[in-house]
Amino acid sequence: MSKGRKIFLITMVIAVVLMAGIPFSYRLISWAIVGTSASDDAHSVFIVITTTYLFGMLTFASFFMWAFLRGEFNNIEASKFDMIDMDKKYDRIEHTEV
Amino acid sequence: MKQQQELVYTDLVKAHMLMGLIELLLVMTFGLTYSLTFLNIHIVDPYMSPVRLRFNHTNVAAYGFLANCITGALYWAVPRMTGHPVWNRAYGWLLWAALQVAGIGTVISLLFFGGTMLGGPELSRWIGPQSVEWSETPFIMDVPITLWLFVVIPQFLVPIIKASKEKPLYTGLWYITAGLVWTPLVYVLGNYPSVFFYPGAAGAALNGSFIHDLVGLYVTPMGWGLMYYFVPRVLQKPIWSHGLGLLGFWGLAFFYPAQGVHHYLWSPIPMFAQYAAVFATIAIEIVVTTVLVNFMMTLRGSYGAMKEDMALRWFYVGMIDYWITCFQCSIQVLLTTQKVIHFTDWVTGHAHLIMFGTFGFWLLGMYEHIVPRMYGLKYTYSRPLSEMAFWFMLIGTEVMFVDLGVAGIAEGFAWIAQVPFIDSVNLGKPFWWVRTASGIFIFVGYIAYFYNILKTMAVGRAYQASTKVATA
Repeated sequence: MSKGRKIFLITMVIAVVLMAGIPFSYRLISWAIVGTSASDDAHSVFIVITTTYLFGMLTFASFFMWAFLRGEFNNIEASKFDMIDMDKKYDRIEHTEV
Repeated sequence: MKQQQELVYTDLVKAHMLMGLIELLLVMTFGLTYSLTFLNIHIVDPYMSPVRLRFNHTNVAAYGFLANCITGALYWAVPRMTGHPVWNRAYGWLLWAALQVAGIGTVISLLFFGGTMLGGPELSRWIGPQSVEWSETPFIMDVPITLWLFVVIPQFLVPIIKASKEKPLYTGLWYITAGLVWTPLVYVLGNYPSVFFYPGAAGAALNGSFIHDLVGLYVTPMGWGLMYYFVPRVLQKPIWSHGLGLLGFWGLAFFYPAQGVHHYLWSPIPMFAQYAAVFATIAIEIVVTTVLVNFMMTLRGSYGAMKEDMALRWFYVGMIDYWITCFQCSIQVLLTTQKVIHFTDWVTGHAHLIMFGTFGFWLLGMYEHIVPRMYGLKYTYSRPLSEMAFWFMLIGTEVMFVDLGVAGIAEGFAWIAQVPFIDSVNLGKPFWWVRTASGIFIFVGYIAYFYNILKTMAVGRAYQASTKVATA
């Protein structure tokens, strides 16, 4: 990966993680505040919205960890070359060239 | 190395594509007929409410056109990306038949059942349109659609799992895997709890998530997943940065589910949920931009291909529309902007640009690329027809988007000024004429496209037959 591309990628990763962290933290804080102080109606709304979201996020956080530990991101650029090479091979066999 | 007939089941690609394209014709007919009612031209009155046309326009777009065309494209792309055929061909035909029953059943139910029509108001809850936005699909159709969404998973997940055991997954496959898993969950969330168990604000919050996530967690991951296959394939070079592609995927996974509530801003839903939705919506623009940068950098040095290859043109115009829509989204979710544009035609223009101007364009581009190649051809039947289809649909879509955007702002400010409502209706009329005219443009362009595809298939069959004779 070229230096420019690497810098761009790292910058975007930081931006996305920061941006994602703010609403995520906001929801956790509101969960704590609303969950301990609001009325029954607010509770039901809050539980439905927040629990659904947190459950979904937890699943994906686990999925991300699984991918990371499995080494999916070790040689991060290799897959794009594999895909295009494989497609070209099939094209030659099946006469579906671009 | 596997032969083509073993790797890609082209019969399933064709079957899904044809049904999808036929249903898109229906979608456009419903939309155009509905738009005429705004001009006081009532074709279906008094036999049925125009609202039923609107339900069909949106629901058939989702479960007819998009579901079929996306599935057809998956039948081509997933085996090519994984190197393994889909799970089972016969199972694929069963799934195809089930999807058509669900799609056609939805059309019939939405047109003729419930309310003042067959079954009456007593049975409306079960067999008629449901009065929840985007969940209008009748309950009797919800069940088969839900089942279909679950049982379709192994068909495409089996080759992906096989590929994942061999090497790290390609970005496109991450998107498709997530789309397969998300979609049934999103459908269940939007069609059962909010309709039967959570009335009021909690139900609205769930429904908002469903409306947005049907786009964001079904059409978007499938669309981008397929783009990550088709764009490098057409350009014959790898995507600029696979790392950025993965970043886009994980950004989508973590941001999108929080956005749904932005459909109900200024509602009784707690403000903490509304603020989080606004923030997540604005933040997703960063993710969208990374994805766009990736695809634009991939195009660098190959700009000439945009002139030559019609599929690529559909893809990149769709991407620009996607960025515009997402940028517009990050502005329109601001509470101040919402005060003006909520319930106006602005929202309709926005929806058309994302659903047709982006994902519709991508799918049309994919089949422009796939169809000739399924028959061993390089091009579609007629280049002038392809050009005509492209420009008519592009002009129609962009004009509709701008027209409805301006109409929405005018209507919004008229309502804020508290002018009599009928004055705001009169204000909208010129814009509705332009909307219908742009709709006719899209319709004519689409007829050219569909005819061109059918002729390509006919020419392709003749070419294949002649090749067989020559070989024999």
